[in-house]
Parts: sequence; C-alpha cells; structure tokens
Amino acid sequence: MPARVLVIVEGGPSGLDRRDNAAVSMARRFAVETGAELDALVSGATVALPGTWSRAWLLAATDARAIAAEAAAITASGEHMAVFTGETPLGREAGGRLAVRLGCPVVAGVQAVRMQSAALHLTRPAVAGTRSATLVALKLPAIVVVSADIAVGEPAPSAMPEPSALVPAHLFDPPELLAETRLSPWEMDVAEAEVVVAGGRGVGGPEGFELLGTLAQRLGGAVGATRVAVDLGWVSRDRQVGLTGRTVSPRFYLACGISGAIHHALGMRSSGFIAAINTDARCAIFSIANASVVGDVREVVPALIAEIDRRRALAATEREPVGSAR
Amino acid sequence: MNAVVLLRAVPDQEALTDPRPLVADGPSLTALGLARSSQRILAAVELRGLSLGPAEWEPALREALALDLDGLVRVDAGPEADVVETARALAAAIPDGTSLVFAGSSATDHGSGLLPAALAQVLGWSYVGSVTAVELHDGLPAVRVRGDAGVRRLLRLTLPAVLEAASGPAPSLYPRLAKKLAARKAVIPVMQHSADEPRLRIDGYGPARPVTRTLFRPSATARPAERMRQLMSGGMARRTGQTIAAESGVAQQLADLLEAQGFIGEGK
Ligand SMILES: Cc1cc2nc3c(=O)[nH]c(=O)nc-3n(C[C@H](O)[C@H](O)[C@H](O)COP(=O)(O)OP(=O)(O)OC[C@H]3O[C@@H](n4cnc5c(N)ncnc54)[C@H](O)[C@@H]3O)c2cc1C
Repeated sequence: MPARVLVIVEGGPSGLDRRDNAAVSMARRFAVETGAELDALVSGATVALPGTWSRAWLLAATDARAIAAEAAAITASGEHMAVFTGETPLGREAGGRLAVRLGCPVVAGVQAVRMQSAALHLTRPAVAGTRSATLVALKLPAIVVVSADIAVGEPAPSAMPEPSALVPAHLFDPPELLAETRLSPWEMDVAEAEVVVAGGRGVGGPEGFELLGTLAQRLGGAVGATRVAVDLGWVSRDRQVGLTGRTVSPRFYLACGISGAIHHALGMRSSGFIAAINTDARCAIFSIANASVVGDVREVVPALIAEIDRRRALAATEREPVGSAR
Repeated sequence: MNAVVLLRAVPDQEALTDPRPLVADGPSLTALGLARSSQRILAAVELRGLSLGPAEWEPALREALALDLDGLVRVDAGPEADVVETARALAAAIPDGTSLVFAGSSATDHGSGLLPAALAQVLGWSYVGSVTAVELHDGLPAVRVRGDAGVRRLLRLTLPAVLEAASGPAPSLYPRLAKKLAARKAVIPVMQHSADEPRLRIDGYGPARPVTRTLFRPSATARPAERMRQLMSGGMARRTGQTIAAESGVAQQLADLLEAQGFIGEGK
C-alpha cells in the first residue's frame, strides 16, 4: 500500500490562505491516522507549514498547469495515496488538471477522509447540501479538494525541510494582467463578499457604521445592515440583509448590535461562521451564532481593529529581512 | 471563430409537482448569458450547446436551444461518469473550429466546480475562472474576472480557452416563439461515450455534516456558577450589569478566530 500524501498549497506574503490551511489540516490528520509521510508542493513563495513534513518542493510559478505537471511527476513513483488541495481558485484548477493527467478520481468539497478496509473513503455534501455522500476511491492517488469549512486543527510548530526548488519542464505563460482594482466595503456587493460586517440599531448611528466600515476594510469584506439601520438612514438600502433585503452566505458574518429578528436571520443564517456582538446575553442572534460576545459594539469593535493592526504590524516586522535597513 | 456552451439540467426547485420537471441549471444559464454577450463582442460565428446527460434532460435542453443557440449535441456516457470521464467525453464532442468554451460555476445539485479546468486540461487549452464579462481591450479580447475579497481583474484572453462564468443570478433570457417551436421539433444528435473503468463508487448517503460551533472561554476569574452561566449563554456573559469584554480579551479571542480562518493575512 502506498504510504505518502502530497499537499499542494500556495505561499504568499500573508502566509497560508485559510482554504489551503484546511487542506493542510485534513492531510495532517489523515497522515497521523494512516501513518503516511507528508510531502508538500508549495507554489509561489515558501511558507512554513505546521506539522512534520518528510519532503518539500518549491515551484516559483503559480500557474495551475505547471503545478499539475510537477505534482504528476512527484506522484509518478506510485507511493501517494492522496493529493490534497484547498478550495482556492488555484487549488481547484490544479486539482482538476492533475486528475486528468493521472486519470485519477477527484472529489471537491471534501469534509472528511478515512481509510477503511484498505479503501479510501471521502465524504462531501450532496443534494444541495442537505445530505452528505461517502465515495470510495477505486484508483489511487485520489485528488482531494478539501472543503474550506472544516474545523482546522490547533496550530502546531513547523518541522519542514528546506524546500528544493523545482524547475518546470514546460513554461506556461500566465494570462497578462491588464488592470486590478479592489472594491471598498461600501462598494462591494453584500451578497458577493466573503466577510460581512453587519450592524443594527445597537451600532448607534452613522459614526458607528464608519467603524464597521473600517473593520470590514481590514478583513476585505463588505458592510451589511438590518432594516432598522436602513430605515433610520444610517446606511443605504443596498446594504440591507434579510427577508426584504439581500440573502447572503459569506464565510464569516459578524453581527454587531443586531437582535437577530427572524426577518433578518432569514437573510444570513446560511453563513459559514456567524459571530455576534450584543449587550443582551439573551438576544436571538446568539442562538444561531457560532461565537457570541456579550459586549458593547463601541468597545469591542475598536479593540478588534487595534488587535488586527497590532498582529499585522508584528507579522510585518517578523518578515523584514535582517539588514534591510541598509 | 466558434463557441460552445456547456449545459446541464436539474430538477426545478420552484415546481410544486412530484416528480419535479427538469429545467436548465442556473449556472448553465449564466454561462449562456455570458456566451451570448461575448458572441456579439468577439463576432463569433456560431454558438452551440453541449451537454452530457441522460435522454430525460432533452426537454430542458430544448428550452436552452431556443435561446438563440445554433445547435445542440447531447453526449451519453452512462450514469457513472466522473469529472475526468465527463471532461474527456465533452472534449471529444467539441466541434472543430471551436476556440471558446463557456461553462457555469459548480452545478446547483452536486457540482464539483472542477469540470471546466479538467476540460481545459484534456483540450490543452487555457482556463479562466469567475469571468463576469468578455470585452475588447486595445482591439484584443480580454476578460473581467471576479477575485476573492472584492478584487477585480482585467486579463488578456489567450485563445483557445475554457471560460467559467462567475456565479450569480441567472440572467432572464426569453426565447422568441418561432425559436421555441423550432427547438421543440429539432433533432438533438446524441454521441455515445464509452467510459473507462469507474474511479469512484458511492458508498452511501448520510445526514449533512454539522457546522462547527466555537464557544469563547469564560472569564478565568469568575466563580464556577458564573463560568457555567457564561458557557451556557454561548459566550461571555455580563457580570452585575457590566460587560467583561475588555478585561477578558474578547477582541483577542475574536482576532484568534479570524486569524485561524485566514482573514487577518496582510493585504486582505
Ligand atoms: C415584513 C417585514 C420584513 C422585514 N424585513 C427585514 C429585513 O429584510 N432585514 C432586517 O434586518 N429586518 C427586517 N425586518 C425588521 C425585523 O423584524 C427587525 O425589526 C430588525 O431586523 C431589527 O433590527 P435591529 O436588530 O437592528 O434592531 P433591534 O431589534 O432594535 O436590536 C438592536 C440590538 O442591539 C443591541 N444593542 C444595543 N446597544 C448595543 C451596543 N452598544 N452594543 C451591542 N449591542 C447593542 C440590543 O441588545 C438589541 O439586541 C422586517 C420586518 C417586517 C415586519
């Protein structure tokens, strides 16, 4: 039985993307359960992956065609049971391309993976998310595109060998970038955002919403609101979430000073992770929130912004190369 | 230059009858809307539909055919075709002279969202995901792409290519009556594809997996009864009318949570 697992991730200045982190987390758990050795193929820039790794390669290119070609070469030895990727655009494209190259099974949105009776079992959502389906891979390696919504393990120190640089056999020209812009939290469509920082009456007024905008800016998200906040004229109507507003399903929904009335909850309850800040410990939003903070928005939100800034500044100084002051 | 749009049929979620009739999938219609607007911009000669699915899909495919498609082919590959097999079967059915394939994002029923990239690999073409528009830039084709976290990019389009339309509400497309009547009578050619050995087997279905819940740590200085109350209330509870947010580091705990989910990276 092959006894290796390959994880494909993209490195970057901000470290590991949370979707790649989910892939690393699932692969590590799987390796512990099966006793498999972990290999990493990092594209872009090097990144310290948590856990103990057997081998690592670095591919400077971030083109999915090059990644799939290199991953196919690495797995040609026939030792790999599975190749894990995250649900990033690059991870998905590389996963799809690699499956074709190897003629192997590929499953996306994987929530669990286990070896049972010497066969690889993969669980993914089915019937529009109302059920889960378990599939058995009849050929190895299986390409596992890991769901971004799985619970990631505790952070662990990194024991990863220095990655050996790969020189791609083929050079693929990435598409020429003609222009790039980033929408502000007030321009971004609430239904499209990955993070929504939403406010209600408890935010206290337009200045409170300015604060939510600052937080949303830090998180690359959009500002949302309840109908009460819209009716009070604190924000424009296109920001309203709920029965008579927009239905949103971001990965992270932060409800600030929102009671959680059913008319509002109907528009956001399918969000991936709901955190709520409210002064009332018995408010309805806490019954659907994954994480609840009993506190004053006007204290918690500025403290959170300051904490994010502090962590980013710390990370930036840690990355600063020695002697860069020259 | 010719283009092809990939089409799927799914049960109509709004129908009240049982069994539900099949309709063209929303993401397929979004791809069709993008393909039609691109056809005008790039002066593509033909836009054809291509679908891998059973004969029961035909009424839904005819509805799509009526939306100004120049033809439609259905591929039959048996019920077990996986992503790789579907990509191979579709690639074999793409007519010569085609240089653009439009696909929807993940199908609404149990789509993996991996098919467009797999198809591009089989064809040896480039692939661009999350495309919102095709346009001309300095007289050359370019695509507008929706990136993560509100990022918008304009990329030069290298042909031939597979383009995956960004997810979003399906456009309202209405067929003309003459086209609708013609589509009802049209003969839909069927191509057979014999699949390789299966790569995956369904072992069974179960309930949807539960969502993970995080409870914040209760204040370390609180009495046991108070700690229990804080836990049961799902988070930090108030102590004699005063919030304990600041002293118990709620901002740090929220930041930990956001960091664990990768939302605090630089440049987000
Ligand atoms: C037909 C119909 C359709 C509707 N459609 C929608 C809709 O689409 N969207 C929508 O949102 N609503 C909708 N509503 C209204 C909905 O029923 C609620 O009235 C509304 O969502 C409540 O908004 P809120 O949470 O901002 O205000 P409130 O219910 O007044 O809640 C304010 C909350 O803020 C908390 N708070 C106060 N001060 C602070 C502070 N300093 N820090 C932290 N927390 C604080 C309070 O404890 C309270 O829980 C609809 C209603 C009807 C009848």
